[in-house]
Amino acid sequence: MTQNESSEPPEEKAHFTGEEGGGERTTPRKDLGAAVVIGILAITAMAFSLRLEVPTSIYTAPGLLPFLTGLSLLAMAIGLGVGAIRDGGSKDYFAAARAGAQNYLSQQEARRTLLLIAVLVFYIFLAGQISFNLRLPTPFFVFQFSSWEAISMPILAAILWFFWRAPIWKCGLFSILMIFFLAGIFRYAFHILLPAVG
Amino acid sequence: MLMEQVLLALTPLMIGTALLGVTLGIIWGALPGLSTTMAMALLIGLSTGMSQSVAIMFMLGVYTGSVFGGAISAVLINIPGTPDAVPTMMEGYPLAQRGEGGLALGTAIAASFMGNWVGIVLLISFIPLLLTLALEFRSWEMFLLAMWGIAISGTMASGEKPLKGWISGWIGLLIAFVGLDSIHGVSRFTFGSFTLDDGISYIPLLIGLFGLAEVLRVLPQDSPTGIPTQVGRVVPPMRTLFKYSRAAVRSGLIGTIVGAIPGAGANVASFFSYDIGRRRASKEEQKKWGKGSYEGIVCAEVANNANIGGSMLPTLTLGIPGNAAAAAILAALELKNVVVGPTIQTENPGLIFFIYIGLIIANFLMYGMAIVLIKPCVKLFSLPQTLILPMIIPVCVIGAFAVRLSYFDVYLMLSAGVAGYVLHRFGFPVAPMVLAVLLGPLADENLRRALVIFEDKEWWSVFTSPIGDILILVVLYTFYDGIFRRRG
Repeated sequence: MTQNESSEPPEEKAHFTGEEGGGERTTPRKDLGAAVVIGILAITAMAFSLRLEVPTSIYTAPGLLPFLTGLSLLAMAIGLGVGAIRDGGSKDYFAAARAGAQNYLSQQEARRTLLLIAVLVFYIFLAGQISFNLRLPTPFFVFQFSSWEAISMPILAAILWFFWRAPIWKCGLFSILMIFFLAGIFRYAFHILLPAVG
Repeated sequence: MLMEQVLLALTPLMIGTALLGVTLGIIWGALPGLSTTMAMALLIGLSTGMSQSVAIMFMLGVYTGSVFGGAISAVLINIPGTPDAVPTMMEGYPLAQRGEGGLALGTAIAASFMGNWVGIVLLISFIPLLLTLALEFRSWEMFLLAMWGIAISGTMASGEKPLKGWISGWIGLLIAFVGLDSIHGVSRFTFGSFTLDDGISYIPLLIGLFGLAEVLRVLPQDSPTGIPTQVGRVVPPMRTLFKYSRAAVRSGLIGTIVGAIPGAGANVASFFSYDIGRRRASKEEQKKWGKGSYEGIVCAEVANNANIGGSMLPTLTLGIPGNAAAAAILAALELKNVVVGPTIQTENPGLIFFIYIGLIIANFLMYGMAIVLIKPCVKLFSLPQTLILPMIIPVCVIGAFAVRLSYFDVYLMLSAGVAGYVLHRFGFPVAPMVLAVLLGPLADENLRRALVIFEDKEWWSVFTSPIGDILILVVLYTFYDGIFRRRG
């Protein structure tokens, strides 16, 4: 019997690690760092819960479940941290964490992600600062052009230019058409207001 | 009442809406990198301008379409459109390489159609029973049920490290507590901000965690464009289903049961069913698994589609979403002032019937549209992800803003997107967090109400409710299983 003819089903391919997985992306060092941050978050939540007023009895206190949640989250953070230390996560922690961060930043994919985050922060902040809506009546409908469209077009063109790597005119044209299309669908077909401030 | 809902669901507007939802869902699901939950989260924004019935029909169409859509790219370009289509990819792509792509996709369509039917039949059969049981649930039981929902969701989402799933859920609970508390109106964690008094809206959170975070994760990768194999003629072979009828029924049951467990979605269903199917297959059939098995496709596709009906069971009867996509359905329902849970029949008479009929219509439309859309989808695969994914960004912004017309929600969506990316990098699942944000207020209110009832009684009176006792054991077992069993 050859290997191909073996009646054994293929074991290695059907490996499943949960609805979202995640085990493969983590290291004990990352877990230890996460445990510290989560522990601080839990303690902060407990402290703020204790400061909440208690209008009647302790049983209906607004801070009761938040406090218990913080307490149990702290226990989970300790569990995560202890497990990470047991797996060697604390060994040369700061030096290794620095090397890990440098390694992350040396990856092209990571740098592209950080750039994308920066562009998105700028885009959403800018769209949150400028607000106008031009209305141009036509025989059939009132054509509208808002600040959101004006800001989205160049930003989307820039993102396309960076990631799609097509000529700038192609990215610009595509982003203009796409933003008009999306604005048209949401504004005229579904009567949904587009983002604006105030 | 049933007839009224049938007539309402069969109006041209409703059929057209379901068709739009199914079409968008199939295309969305077929595009690699765009998941079912992402479709649901982003398209909630589009449903804000719709009436209640139209919005429900639209979301059911999107749900049904997108779960199937993942199979198209899985079979034709060896990239699963949605994560639950991985087993379909493992069996379908080898078949497509042998020139049987059309038949493999046809089998996936027929299996999805069958899976949806199993899910719908079981949903209709078990809802009356669950609703009767749910009416026995008082505050204490509702609190325990909500906590179990978050805990099991954490276990199911993270697999090897349930602790990370629970942490994600517990962080979600803390987010849910932000705002005015529902009993005394005390501001919690708002830091003096009036905007936060209304609480954190879960729709921008959903859009950020499942939409923007995915864009941040996938767009910077240099993913190659898929080269589709020849499709050939797509004929859903019902005969293949009859040949594998035992596997199909078993997979349908697995898919529905898994769907009813909070946090366990189509991924768990399709992998679980595929694994069991492989073990139970005949020796002759086992040789084909991994190299192109139609039975494998049947097992995976029946299960992930039956999961839809299963996930609606706890969502409608208890208000506990069966998975992240069902959480989006729940969010869409709440947006339309539909209160789900034990009193759904009295507070929204006829709504359950409308949902049954909506699912049936969506299933028929999915069957038809799947055949129609396969060839256009093949053309879409030649478009690079770097062109498609940036289009998601403006949709995320509009969707987050549209719900409350608040620009604060856009900032919230951005923060959730970045947080979702960081959580992913650190191996934390995000579905338990979303479920917890939805279930947090339910848990909080019910715990405090229950404690008022128990206040003047002896401490052991918390153990006097049989349902409560069972739930305490179930919660404890969930933690025990997560901590000890998985360690071994």
